[in-house]
Amino acid sequence: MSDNSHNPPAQDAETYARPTDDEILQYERKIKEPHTLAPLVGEKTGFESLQAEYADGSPTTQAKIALLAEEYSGLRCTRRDGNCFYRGLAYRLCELVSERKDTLWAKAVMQRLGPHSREAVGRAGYDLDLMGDFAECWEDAVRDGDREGAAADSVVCWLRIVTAAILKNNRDMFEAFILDSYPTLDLFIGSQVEPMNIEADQPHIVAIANALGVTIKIGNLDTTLNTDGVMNWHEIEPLEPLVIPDSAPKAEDQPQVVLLYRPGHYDILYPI
Amino acid sequence: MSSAAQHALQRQLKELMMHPVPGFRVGMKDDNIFDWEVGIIGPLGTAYEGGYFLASIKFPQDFPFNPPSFTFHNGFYHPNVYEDGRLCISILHAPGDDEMSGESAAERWNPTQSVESILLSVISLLNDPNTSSPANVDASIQFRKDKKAFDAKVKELVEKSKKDIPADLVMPTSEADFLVKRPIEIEEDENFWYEEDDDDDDEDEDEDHGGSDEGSDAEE
Repeated sequence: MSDNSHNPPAQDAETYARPTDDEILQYERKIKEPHTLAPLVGEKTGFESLQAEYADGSPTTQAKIALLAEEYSGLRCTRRDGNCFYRGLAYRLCELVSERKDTLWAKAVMQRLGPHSREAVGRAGYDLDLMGDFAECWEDAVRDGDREGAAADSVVCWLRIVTAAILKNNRDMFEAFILDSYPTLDLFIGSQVEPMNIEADQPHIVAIANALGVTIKIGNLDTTLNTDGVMNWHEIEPLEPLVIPDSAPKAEDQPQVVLLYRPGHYDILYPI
Repeated sequence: MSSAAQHALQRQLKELMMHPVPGFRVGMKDDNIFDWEVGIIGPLGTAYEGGYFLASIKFPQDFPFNPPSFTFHNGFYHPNVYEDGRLCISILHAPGDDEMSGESAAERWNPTQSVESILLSVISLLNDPNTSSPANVDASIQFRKDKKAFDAKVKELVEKSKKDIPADLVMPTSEADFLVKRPIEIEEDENFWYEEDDDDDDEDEDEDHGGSDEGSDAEE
């Protein structure tokens, strides 16, 4: 607000022949329409449409897609609105829990997704009375196996707040990654985490993986190659993995969500 | 979606009626939770001191994902208020709207903001107009270059606004008055602690009621 360097002197403002704010907004909405009308989370599909989309793409990209088609049973596209990471994560987690409904595992996951997150959000100084509505949407969706509900904006909002809370509660750990581009962690959170429609990046993913106790594996569909293979995968494991009370830790018990990344966008991948 | 918005707004309204932001009165208009009426006590030490200004807040059906609009009534004069009364303040702009404004996303509306955060921004703006991005260019120039004339114009508004002061409202005349709103609450707290070991709740409750009855009498 105090930054006046971008603003022309007041008396000149009227004479500038620039489009009005409304005109800019309307234009922006119009060009974004194909994206904003897509379903929040689409049907599960094979890799044909991805192959078609990159038919003229680089050989590396095409090779990566061919490999995905061998190792994964399909993908689910999320709406390209900047919330795709949170939405895809929530949708897939809800799906995983409903696949193992009423197990000790599902109970442990729900404990971690619910009270654990609320505690972190409260500790970070957010008003739980206000934010509790969002948390409830998320907890209800996971409990009821309501995947559509898990893809709702209120859930995206809640996961953003949880992400922000983890960043705030672990300042020392995260500041080092952020202070390059933002003067303070809080400013970063205010502009890159809390607002809707702003995509998630490395710090966000690390934070939410820690909060939810979920391993997030991301395949990068770009033209760069990994040294020991074709696809470059990033696997982000939580500092404190999921603990199932009274049971020995097993690798397959660690919940894992796999996402496919293309610059600015995440879709859900389904392992075979 | 709208029932979630309704729920959130009802909760916030209740909270603001029980724990008012000093200097504000809020309430629903025509029993519509998406449409609030606000009374603003002109902050002391500003040209607005002594006035009681009415405004309305209109909430979108998808609140809190999109911000409400805040509109002053009766020709409110301020550098950051358009001539039609709409308040122009970054917290009421959704991120993504008007990228040209130079406001960073951190100053914009996001779903973690609340009505309370808007009211606090309004108070801060009444105390300290932001002349670098004015909504009312004339008011802004006058504020910077001819503060006397600006103050005189606001003074007229203050006089006109006095007819809107609710009968039960004692206008504050010192900073302390703004804060004296909650003595009843402190008493209640004390009683609350005493009550833990007491069986005769009735006595305590009577005392409580004495306090809150005064409040509701005054409102009628």
